Amino acid sequence: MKALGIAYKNLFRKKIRTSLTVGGVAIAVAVLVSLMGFDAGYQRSLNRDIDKLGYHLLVTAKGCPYEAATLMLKGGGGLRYMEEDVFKRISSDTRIDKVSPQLVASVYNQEGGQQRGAFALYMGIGPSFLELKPWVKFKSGGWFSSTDANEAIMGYEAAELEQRSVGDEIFVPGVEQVLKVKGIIERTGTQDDGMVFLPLSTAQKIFNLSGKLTGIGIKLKDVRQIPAFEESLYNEPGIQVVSLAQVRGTILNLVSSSRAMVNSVAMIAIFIAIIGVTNTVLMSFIRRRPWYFLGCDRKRFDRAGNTQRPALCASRPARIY
Amino acid sequence: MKTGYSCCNSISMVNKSALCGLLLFIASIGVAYAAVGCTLNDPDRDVKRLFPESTGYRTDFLSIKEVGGNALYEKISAELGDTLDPIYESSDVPYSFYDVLKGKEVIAHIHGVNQKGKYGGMQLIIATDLNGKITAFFYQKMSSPEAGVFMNKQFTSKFVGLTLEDFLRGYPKISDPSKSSEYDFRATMRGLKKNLILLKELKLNKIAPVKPQ
Repeated sequence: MKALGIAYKNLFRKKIRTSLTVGGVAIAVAVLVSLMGFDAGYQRSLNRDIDKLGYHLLVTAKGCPYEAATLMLKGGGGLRYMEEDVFKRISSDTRIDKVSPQLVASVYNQEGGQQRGAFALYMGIGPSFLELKPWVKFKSGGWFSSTDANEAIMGYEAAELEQRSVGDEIFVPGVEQVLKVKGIIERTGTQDDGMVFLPLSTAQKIFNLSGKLTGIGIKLKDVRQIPAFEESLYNEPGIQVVSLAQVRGTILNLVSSSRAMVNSVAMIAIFIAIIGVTNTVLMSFIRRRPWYFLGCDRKRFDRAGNTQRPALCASRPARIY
Repeated sequence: MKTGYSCCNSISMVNKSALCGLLLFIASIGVAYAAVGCTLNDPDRDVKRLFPESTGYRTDFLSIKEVGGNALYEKISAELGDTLDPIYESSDVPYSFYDVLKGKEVIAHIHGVNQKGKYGGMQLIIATDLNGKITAFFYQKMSSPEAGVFMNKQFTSKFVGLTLEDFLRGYPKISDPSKSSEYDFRATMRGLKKNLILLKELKLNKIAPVKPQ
């Protein structure tokens, strides 16, 4: 306790050293807290995004995701399609609470940006889309006037970027189609904010994908039935079933290596801070009571010269406290 | 010969499915649009392309509200000769101004605005000298069946050398390059006028004028 008292008093004697140590500890704590906050925030955001998809299972066409990703990055469409009949077969299952067919089509707009094009995604949806996402509200306008109208519903940010209001028109490049804006959705904080939605039949018609779907979102009446329901779909040819728990796990696995690195940085920062604090305490103490550290008494220490002191105390165990 | 699916041979079916879902998920996130302000998509590249002699740039974000409040908003609207859209052209829209630097010296300005077009938002970017004379103009974004005609350098180069005064005297005598997109042509003229007015009111009026060489 005496040593701690000396160290405490010395904190005020060596102000620069003390402030540097305090600064080091503060930075280490800040790094740790911010990294933990980032990690927690990322997971919360991911969970919220996945939950706001509104469904438990996503049925997609069978295919290699890597190939699709490569094609999309290279400028191709890359999406695989399944037959709409699959939706008709699946939707008759009594375990299903809500089911929503989707057709996503990507269009490469060469003139979307200066010197380089940009991808735009359009999603064909049916009325059940809103049943899966009851939190979606219209900022202005409303639902499509018919199932095959040349109309669009825009996400909040998409409308903001394109400066669209209800009644305006939008141009779909590539297929050279003009659509009338029928509704604008309030901000949801999800990817829907940047999306342009079309009636499913319209999307199938203008993108020349008649009878095709890219996905079917399924919400079951009872979440405990997910494994059994997934199992029952394995016999359906040409499709694969993705539970959102799987997606969540895969994303978290993908980011786990970066998380490990980030955590390592935090641990190193904490380690350095601990070393810094220990060093300050020890230095403070040694400077004030060197004989104590060497295990001598003060009189003998004072009598001995600099060259004799180590030998004087060599046979005695060093003690710190 | 490898098939299109051979890359996945070593991946379990579960992982394949999860990755496919992940891909769709990421793809749908990827389309999230940027905020409403008009900034350069790639300022490093654009500044160097427009001013090869430049050594850097600095960016100012200014809104009408913070520079001159409602009075300035009314003044800009009067100069434009048109009402500003209360949603997309409100007084708190942050406009980004790029000061192009050569060493420590500012040699030019770059400024962009959003403008409502017939089929979508347009992003009109101008580069000017220190007195506000246009030295380059391009569309950073445009949605129109005739976008290619508007974005063609033959059309955009016609605005080089113009100043705000040319627009205030009545729109410059530049003909519409499109066949059926008069709305977008008029929107371009309005957007450029708005761009020059904002440059003058928010930026140039705060700096002492430079004598033309």
